[in-house]
Amino acid sequence: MGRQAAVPRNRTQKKKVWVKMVQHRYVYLMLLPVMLYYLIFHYFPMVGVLIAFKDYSIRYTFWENIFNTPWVGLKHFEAYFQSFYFARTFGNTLIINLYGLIFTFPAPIVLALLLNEVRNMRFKKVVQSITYLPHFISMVVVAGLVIDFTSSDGLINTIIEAFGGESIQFLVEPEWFRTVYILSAIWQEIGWGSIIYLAALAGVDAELYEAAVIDGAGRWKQMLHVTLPSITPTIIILLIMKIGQMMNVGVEKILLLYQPTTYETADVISSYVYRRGLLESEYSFSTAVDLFNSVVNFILLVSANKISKMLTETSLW
Amino acid sequence: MKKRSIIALLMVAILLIGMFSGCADGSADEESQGAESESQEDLKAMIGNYPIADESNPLTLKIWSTMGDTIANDIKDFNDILAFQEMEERTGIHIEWEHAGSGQDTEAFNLMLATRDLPDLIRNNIGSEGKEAIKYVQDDVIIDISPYMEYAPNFKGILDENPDLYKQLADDNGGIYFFPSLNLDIRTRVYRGFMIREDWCEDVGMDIPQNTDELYEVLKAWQENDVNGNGEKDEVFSGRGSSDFLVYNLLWCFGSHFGFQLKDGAVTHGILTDEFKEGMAYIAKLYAEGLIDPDFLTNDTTKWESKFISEEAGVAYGIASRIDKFNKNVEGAHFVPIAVMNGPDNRPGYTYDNTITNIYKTQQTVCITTVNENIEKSMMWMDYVYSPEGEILFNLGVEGVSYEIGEDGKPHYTEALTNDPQGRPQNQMQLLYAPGGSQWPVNVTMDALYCQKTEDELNAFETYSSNIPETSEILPPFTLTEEEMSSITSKLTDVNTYVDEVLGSLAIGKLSIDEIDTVVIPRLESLGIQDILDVYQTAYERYMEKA
Repeated sequence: MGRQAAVPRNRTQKKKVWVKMVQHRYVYLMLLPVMLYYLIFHYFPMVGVLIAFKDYSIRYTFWENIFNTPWVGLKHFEAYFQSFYFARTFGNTLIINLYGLIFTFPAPIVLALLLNEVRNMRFKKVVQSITYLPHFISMVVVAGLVIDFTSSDGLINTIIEAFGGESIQFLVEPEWFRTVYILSAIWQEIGWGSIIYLAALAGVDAELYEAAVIDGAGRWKQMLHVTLPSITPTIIILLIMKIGQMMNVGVEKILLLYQPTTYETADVISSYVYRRGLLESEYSFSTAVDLFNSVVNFILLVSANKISKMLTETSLW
Repeated sequence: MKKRSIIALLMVAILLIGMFSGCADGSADEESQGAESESQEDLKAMIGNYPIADESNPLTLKIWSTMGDTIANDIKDFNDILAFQEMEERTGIHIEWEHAGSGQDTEAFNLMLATRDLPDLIRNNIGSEGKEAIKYVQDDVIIDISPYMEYAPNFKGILDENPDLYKQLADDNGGIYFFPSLNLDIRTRVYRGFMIREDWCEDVGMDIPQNTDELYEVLKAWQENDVNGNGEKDEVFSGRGSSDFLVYNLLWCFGSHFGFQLKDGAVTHGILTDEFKEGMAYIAKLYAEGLIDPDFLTNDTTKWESKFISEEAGVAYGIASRIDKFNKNVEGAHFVPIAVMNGPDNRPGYTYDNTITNIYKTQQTVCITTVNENIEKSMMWMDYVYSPEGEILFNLGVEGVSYEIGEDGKPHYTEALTNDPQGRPQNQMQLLYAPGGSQWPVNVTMDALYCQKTEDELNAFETYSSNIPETSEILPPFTLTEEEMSSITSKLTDVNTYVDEVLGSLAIGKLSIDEIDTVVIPRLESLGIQDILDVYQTAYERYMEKA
């Protein structure tokens, strides 16, 4: 019954949509490249996940592989879950991202709050410029800098030795890898990340501060009760997005910084996929591993969004 | 409304897929229409009669090839190299090159295969470990060239004259899959070994170390006497943790390898031998006492070299060309080769460098692909490289341009190579004229070696080849069958990855030597090393039975 009623309504609505689309055709035209981009580069390649359930062979073309080769079920997933590398790569991926969430994520917020309190505009600008410059350096160069700084006669070890400490092989000892990874990430992204928070801070109504001052709030209380609540929605959205990338590690940086002795803490799912897929050409196996990665990622994103919706009424959708 | 738009999106996606698959089919059809082929007799008449193509009957071959870093900045493709320009003139065949960007070789190669966008010929390190030729035959990428041997009389002649080479090159069924670089003279094969700063040894009043005990004493003495005079105890043995110039080469002095090897006629892995523990304990001791470069695991070649140029390191294992380079770049330094470094108590040292026992090199191999429609002519073209004229062309270049016959009756490179106005070194220039041996397969001749190498290097070759360490534990180049291969491929990856990890951890003391038995070997067993050993053992026995 409801369906019958819905038909004419849908039709008029459809008409309206068309009329509107024709009216605003230039706006829609501008949307087209973006749509095409997503279709061609993000949706269309998804066909490729099918090879995770097949034995991809370079004997055949891609399409022959998709349509003609037999299905092998969950063989590749089983091989991954049973292998010794499953626990290691999955664990490392989670731990590095968890550290990222605890240390890298709040760092720009702190910087933004600090900069917000600075009254000398010149100083503020200088600090901002210096902190966001590293963002523009290519990852290869950043990794090169990190390797040089942490080598036995590098800057950091020279400082440690000057204070009478023992020099540390940061990139050789597995227990230091995550620290180096996280600290260099903070160094590179803190300034850039703070821009969005500074923008949010600029939008806070000045009257709120006036009201707070009248109520007798000091600088600290103002920050706690006015500034932070005002930028909470921004923080939450960025947090959800960050959790959405929970399983994606900046694999270039890992590949540039790790070496066999640090595999124990540095080998993540993406670097494992790179080695098995692109270097050893085991396409089906590495696709299966990456698909697993994406599924976990998807679950994390959806649950983070749900939780945030329940707790703060801010959410992505 | 929302659902509808999703459906629409899906429709568009499906349409797009249709379009793309349509394209793929179309191009496949076009490829199958080749030129009319000549009759067998016509082709046979051409053998040895170059040119084999001309304007009335043109032929272009497509070749995918890696390009070495040394020349990547100097040329666009190999047609900029004199030898290939000359070869085109002499054979009449034009070559269209496709090169991978530097450092992207493996990825680009795998990508080419995965998209099945195959050229007519491929030059890559096919035949080396992990790139076994048979794998590519099964994947329908390259062909067995042995049925076409009559079109390559020069190459066949060399194989007939050298039964050892044939045994190594042909698989169990007589299949041959590539044209390799040949190193028939042993002096062209032994170019790696220990090198040490003689002047530092003299400074502390010691002889050149001949065994690991003496090496330890020398390193100690260097540090105590501060031979580089910078006030720090930083005089070390330097090396790398992967690829080349390995610190782990020290294991060889003890009679153990960091990879698969022979022991008492059976295939085993170095880690499983007792000598490995002894050797690794030595390396760990040196590292702990600061006698090995603390950065060795993160060193790349440039960084490794800088340790010698800044006079922090005085001994290494590696390619002889560095002896010359260091002597030229470090004032007052005099590096000399050490032929054999023996083990403790002067136990004879071993080598596991299979370039010494392999008469051909897998680094420069040319294969013919399955899409090649001119197999016979491709064979003839490649065979030219092994002809007497081709040998000269790819080793030395063109007389009067890149080399001249000197008063001693021997060839010498011209000023164009030895004295480049842009200041590029000779070994780089030579590749722009005669790329044989490092960029392209060739039968490497001693004439070429005398031309190319400096006095220091030739001395080193002489030292290394006159007194070679024990080679009896090196695995010969046996071949695997399809089943054998597929049963161990992923286990081999896991084992090799883990071995890399363990070598570093043991050297820096993260793992103790006792843990080899309690942790490392059980882990290797769980990764399936026994299956690999079993397969290798059968393949090895098959190889030994071969005539």
